[in-house]
Amino acid sequence: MMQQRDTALTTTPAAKDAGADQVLPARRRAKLARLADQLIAGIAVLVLWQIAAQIGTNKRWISSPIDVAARAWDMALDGTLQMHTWQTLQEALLGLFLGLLLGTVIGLALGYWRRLSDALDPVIMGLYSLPRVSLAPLFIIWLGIGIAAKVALVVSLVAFVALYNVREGLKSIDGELVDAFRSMNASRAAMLRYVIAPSLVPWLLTATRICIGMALIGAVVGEMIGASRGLGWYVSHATNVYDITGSITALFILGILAMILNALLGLFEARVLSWRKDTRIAQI
Amino acid sequence: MRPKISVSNLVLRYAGAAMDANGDALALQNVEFQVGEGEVVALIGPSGCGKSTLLKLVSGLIKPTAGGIEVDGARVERVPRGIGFMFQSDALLPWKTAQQNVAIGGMLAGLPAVRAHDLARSLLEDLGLGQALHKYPSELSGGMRKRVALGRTLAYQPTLFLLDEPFAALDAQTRITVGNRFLRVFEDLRRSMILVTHDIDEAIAMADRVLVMTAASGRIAATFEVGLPRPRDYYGSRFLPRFHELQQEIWDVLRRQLERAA
Repeated sequence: MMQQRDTALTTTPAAKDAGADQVLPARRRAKLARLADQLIAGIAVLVLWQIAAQIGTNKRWISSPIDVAARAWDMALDGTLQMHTWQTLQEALLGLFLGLLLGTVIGLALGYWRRLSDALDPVIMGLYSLPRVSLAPLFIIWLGIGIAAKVALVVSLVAFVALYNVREGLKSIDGELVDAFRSMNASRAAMLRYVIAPSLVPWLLTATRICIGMALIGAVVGEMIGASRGLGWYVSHATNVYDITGSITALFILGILAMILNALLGLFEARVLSWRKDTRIAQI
Repeated sequence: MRPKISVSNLVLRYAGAAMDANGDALALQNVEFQVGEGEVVALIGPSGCGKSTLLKLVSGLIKPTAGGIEVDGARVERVPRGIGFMFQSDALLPWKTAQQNVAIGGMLAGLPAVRAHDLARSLLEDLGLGQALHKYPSELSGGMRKRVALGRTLAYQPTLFLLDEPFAALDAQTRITVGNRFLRVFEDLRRSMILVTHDIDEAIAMADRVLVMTAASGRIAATFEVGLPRPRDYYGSRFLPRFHELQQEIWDVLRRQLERAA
């Protein structure tokens, strides 16, 4: 009798499969439709830009998609496009990685030593509120015009976001989960592994998403102030000689870089957070 | 015979609780009771009376201001081995499958990973969740999650169960099927248990003894021996005459406490 009552609670395989058949294609169709919308929107922006450049005499100031494409093609042929892009990408990714790591470690340490955290709180808030981009010249004086100064600038931007996200993440950990594991005598290592680290993953992914743009900003600003290569150097070099097409080409590539990095993160996120049933954003 | 749990002169003060004459916040005051080996004791009382706090004290999750708690004759200073604590929420890891969640209970008890996973599989199969081994908690119903949580607790192989309103989040019908499932498991194991609940019927159906707590600064107001035969049925027990007597007697005490609280 118990057995009978219970089967009502478990989903039978047949019922599950029937549901999956209907749900999956619908979901995939919605995804394809969204991709198509995004492609159309992108093309529409390019077309409007081209028209604006065509009808006005302002082509000199805003360039045009065709000119930008031609410049990118030329740069790709002589290898400068790859060289500058790779330089900036290296600085941004290295800084992003080190900054996230540093912020996470400090965030965890401050979560562990509460007194240290309380003591350092005003200092951290002060540093965080500082316009860190203005540190760029200092980093260049300290570390030279090589990659190190740019990485340091990126780290200074990214680490705080990671730190504050880890801190919020620690605050939001389900207290009953912690109590459940404490009641089973979980060691500190087991608690970190089973409860704390996985709870922080969504927060770190959010931090990474915010920081992709920041990392590119840091790398580019660093290059604009003191460098001999990189997309930021290219932008400032081109602007100095009123080469608007050159400047916009480099910016366009930065935009594409950001889109690719975000898309890669999205794929990673979908894999790592597959346990989440519903990831839709609340409709406002 | 030595009792499984012995609580004596237990006092707990903390900020945010009702003030006593000295202006101190008093959550629990001179609580005294014992739980025998294999005995199931239900704690019932108005909300805010400190019954959940009492469970946390017994499990060593928080420390008392005064008085002592002994489990197996040893004073509780930190979390002792072999406590099976179940919460109102199922407290499952949302990023682990049912089987992984249960296996963690076994691993924390010291089993190697492979054996813990085997144990998890057989426990979940026994609990009627053979189909759900590889599902995440978000893919399971409330009743199924509760059974997974029971599986994890069993995999930890506790000698003492502490249940804090384990069925509160379930709907009435699921509560009956899950309640019966718990009864079968616990009547097989015959382990000591403290069950905290606000439901008189549940307390009578599950427990050997029911303790009613006072409203503010919780103390034990009254004790009732249930004396219903086992094995019991979670729902069917309530048609026995003794059940009605107890319902009436416990309600009389509880109502006085509720009136005092209001």
